[in-house]
Amino acid sequence: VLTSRGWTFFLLVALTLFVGVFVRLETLTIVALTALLWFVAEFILFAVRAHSLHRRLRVRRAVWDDRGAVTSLWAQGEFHVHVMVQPTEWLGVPFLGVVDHVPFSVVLLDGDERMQGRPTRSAPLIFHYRIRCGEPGVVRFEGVRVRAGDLQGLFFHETFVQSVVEMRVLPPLADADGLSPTTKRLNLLPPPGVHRLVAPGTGGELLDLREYQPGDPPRTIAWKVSARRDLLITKLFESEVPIRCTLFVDTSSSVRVPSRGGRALTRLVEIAAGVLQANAAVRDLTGLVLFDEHGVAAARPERTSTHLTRMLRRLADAATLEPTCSRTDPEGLQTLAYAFAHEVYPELLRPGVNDMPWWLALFTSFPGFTRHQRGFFRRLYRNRSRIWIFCATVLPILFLVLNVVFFCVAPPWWSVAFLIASTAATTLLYFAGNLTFLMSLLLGRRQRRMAADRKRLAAILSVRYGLDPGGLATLLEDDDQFSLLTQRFLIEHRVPFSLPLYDRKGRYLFAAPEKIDVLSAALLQAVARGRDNELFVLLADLLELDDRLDPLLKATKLARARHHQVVLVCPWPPGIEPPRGVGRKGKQRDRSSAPAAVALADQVEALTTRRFHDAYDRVRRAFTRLGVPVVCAADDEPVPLILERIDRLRNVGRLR
Amino acid sequence: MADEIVELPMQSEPGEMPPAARTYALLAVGLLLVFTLLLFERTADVMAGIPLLLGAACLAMQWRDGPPAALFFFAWAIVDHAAGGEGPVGVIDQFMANQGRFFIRPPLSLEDFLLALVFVGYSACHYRYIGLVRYLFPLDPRRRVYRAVRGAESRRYLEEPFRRAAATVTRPEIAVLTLAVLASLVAAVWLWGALKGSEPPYKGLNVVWQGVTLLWLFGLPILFFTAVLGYVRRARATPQENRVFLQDQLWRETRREQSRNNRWLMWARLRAQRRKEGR
Repeated sequence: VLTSRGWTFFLLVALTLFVGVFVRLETLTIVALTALLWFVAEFILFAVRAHSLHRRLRVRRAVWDDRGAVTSLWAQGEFHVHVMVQPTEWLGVPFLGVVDHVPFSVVLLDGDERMQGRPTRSAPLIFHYRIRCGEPGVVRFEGVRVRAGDLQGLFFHETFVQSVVEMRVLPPLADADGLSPTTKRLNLLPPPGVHRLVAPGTGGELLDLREYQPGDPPRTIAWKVSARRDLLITKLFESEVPIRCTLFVDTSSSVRVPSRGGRALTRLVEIAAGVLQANAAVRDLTGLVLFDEHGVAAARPERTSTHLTRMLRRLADAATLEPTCSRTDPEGLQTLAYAFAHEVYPELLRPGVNDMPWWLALFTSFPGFTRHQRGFFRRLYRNRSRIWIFCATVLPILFLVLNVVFFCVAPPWWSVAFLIASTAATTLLYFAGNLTFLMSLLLGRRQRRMAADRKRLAAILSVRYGLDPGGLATLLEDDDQFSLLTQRFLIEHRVPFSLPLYDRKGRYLFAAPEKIDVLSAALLQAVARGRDNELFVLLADLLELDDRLDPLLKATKLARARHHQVVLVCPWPPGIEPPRGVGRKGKQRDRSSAPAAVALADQVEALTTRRFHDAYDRVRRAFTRLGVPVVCAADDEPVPLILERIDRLRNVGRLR
Repeated sequence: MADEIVELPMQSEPGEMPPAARTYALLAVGLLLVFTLLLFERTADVMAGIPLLLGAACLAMQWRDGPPAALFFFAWAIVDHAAGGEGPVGVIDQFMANQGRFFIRPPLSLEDFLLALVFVGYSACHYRYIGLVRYLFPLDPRRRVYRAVRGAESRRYLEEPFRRAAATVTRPEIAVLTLAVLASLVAAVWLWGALKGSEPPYKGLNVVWQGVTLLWLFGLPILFFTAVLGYVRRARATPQENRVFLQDQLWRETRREQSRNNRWLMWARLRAQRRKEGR
């Protein structure tokens, strides 16, 4: 591809050659011919070297921490990224400017994420930079963006070399006291069974005495007591099984929705990871159930380190989930997704592969039917071809037929009057229709560009998600499917995006009420499989669903009836004042002292806060009635505090 | 928000010129001087100084279009000299009246070859200098600066990521450039000699014959080369590219039918949903 300076140079040289040849001035001819030959030679050399560059370059990447290469990252950890770009063939490459596509979820600290030069097989381009990971989840390195040019800047080619590497960002390693994992945990480990349950078992501590029953082992007979009472008495010992704890983590759409202070899901994952690690430190068995509105993914309680790592990975995967909604208007997402695809998949958007003819965009528009109302002018634009066809064909025929009929059946003066009136009306309509069409052509440049972008993006999505060959046409007409696939595309590439929370009728799109049934079923299943008194920690956002809790309350009641402990941890929306007595921000603002003319934003915030407080009160009342404590995981609520509350519950259970 | 200034990570200090850029600038100025002397030798006119002035101004102001401007005024000086130095009106008059027959046409000499050599060398040096101090790769139109950042700072922010790093300049670059320019000159002289010596099929059509032959000589190989590259690209396309291509072809052929079916399906689905929601 010629750059603008390439075109200028080429055109001036060609013009000079033309003048030189036709005016027969050999000085001009020889100068221009030399320049042109040099230009063409440079072009051929560049074109050969830059051809299929994305397939002739190899990218290798390694992520290191202080000790060496890693395959998983840690939240808030700092890592070095080493990138190497190397040609794979003897042909060589032109001068390259290489830019690594730094993932969206990390912060670039220092170093170079870009490099220039002409790499060879023996001397590849190597560069390093340092990143800091953000929240738990997955980091995706897409590859490197390659700009190729000659040394004069006359020619240019841009492509993207794919080298996808996905790495999990695990929640930070810390126990309940916030200690780092480098402390000597093994030497401090308590023996299994420090959490004794008050139930007969095979432990070492005496629990109670009772009358001997046939079948009791003779070694449990308390001989001294039996001798004193003249009756065989058996000793009962405490059970020395560890606590089994199962975490139910809500991953539904309602907690995936981002807000000002972050996502509730991230908070839940951090809490769950903290509890997992704390339990692992005291060798408790911990299970994990991830649920959303569609189903559950469960792992039974275990205590091994492999299990802990597996659970942390599951949590990291869960933290990457993004909200999806088919009813979202795809236009906003399309712009983002197309820009991303243009950068990462330039080869799939080349005009020779995936094209939208310019003339087609003048006459067609899609989708034909949509649930999203985009205004009168957009509707007019969408139907411009129909309006034009109506004016050009149907209207004259209608005019002719009506006048003939009128002349046949009506008196002459009426017919003449009708002829004049219909001529005026038809002319007016004809010009109005044509004017509409012309104006749509003149003013609809953005719409045409959007249509072309949608077609190209739909072609990529259709192939990527296996809808081809007919998927392209389907995605052009079906807004819902296109919106869902665009969201999926963005989620898979870890591109952050935002969705509207409410539809145009004011309905909340992410309440996910189905998750109550899913959670209830999962809890019942856990109760059915429970071996002894277990601890069930429900990390679920129930604030928007306080009127649909019946199935969950029933399941909780059953769990309590089987002597299990249940704790509910509600994620509190970041940025909203927590309920009274929770966290450090527990003090309510004195609203009576607020000025009368408060800003609208303050009023909305106050109403939202009150709504959440009321919902939290209702949830807490409903669960407290069953003996289930409700913990509010507010913004500044530390994990140790929640663990302490869970631990306190253990003690309560022990005394009971 | 619009006036907020953020820290822009920059690699170089403002106003700093790398040594390699200085070398190319000096080379370009030197070649321009030689070019002017040779042109003066050829035309003996004050017009010969304009390419030098323009070229030097472009180098000083770091404008990219120095070579085309120099070439334009060089061509003008040559044509004007050939027309007797009577200015633009004289050139046009002579050309219109006698189809350029009275132009003074000096035979090819060593100065002409040197002029060609120097001009191409100057063009390459100028462009390389611009690549080192301004930008080598085209700017990204999506890159925007805050309103508060203006002038040189704004230009620096926009251009620096696309600038050639001074560290990438190697010693053999200039030698390779010299060889390439020399080779181009030799090829041009040979080509022009061959063209001049060839017999046109019709008498009196020398100029047209030479022009058309040149067009074919440049056009045909480039067309063939482009076709080969296109074929190789298609042959080496990834499975995903091929699937997108095939899907695109199918859509082009059947888009009306597919669109009609999907449009009605969408209409039916939306109507069913509206009924389900009780509207």
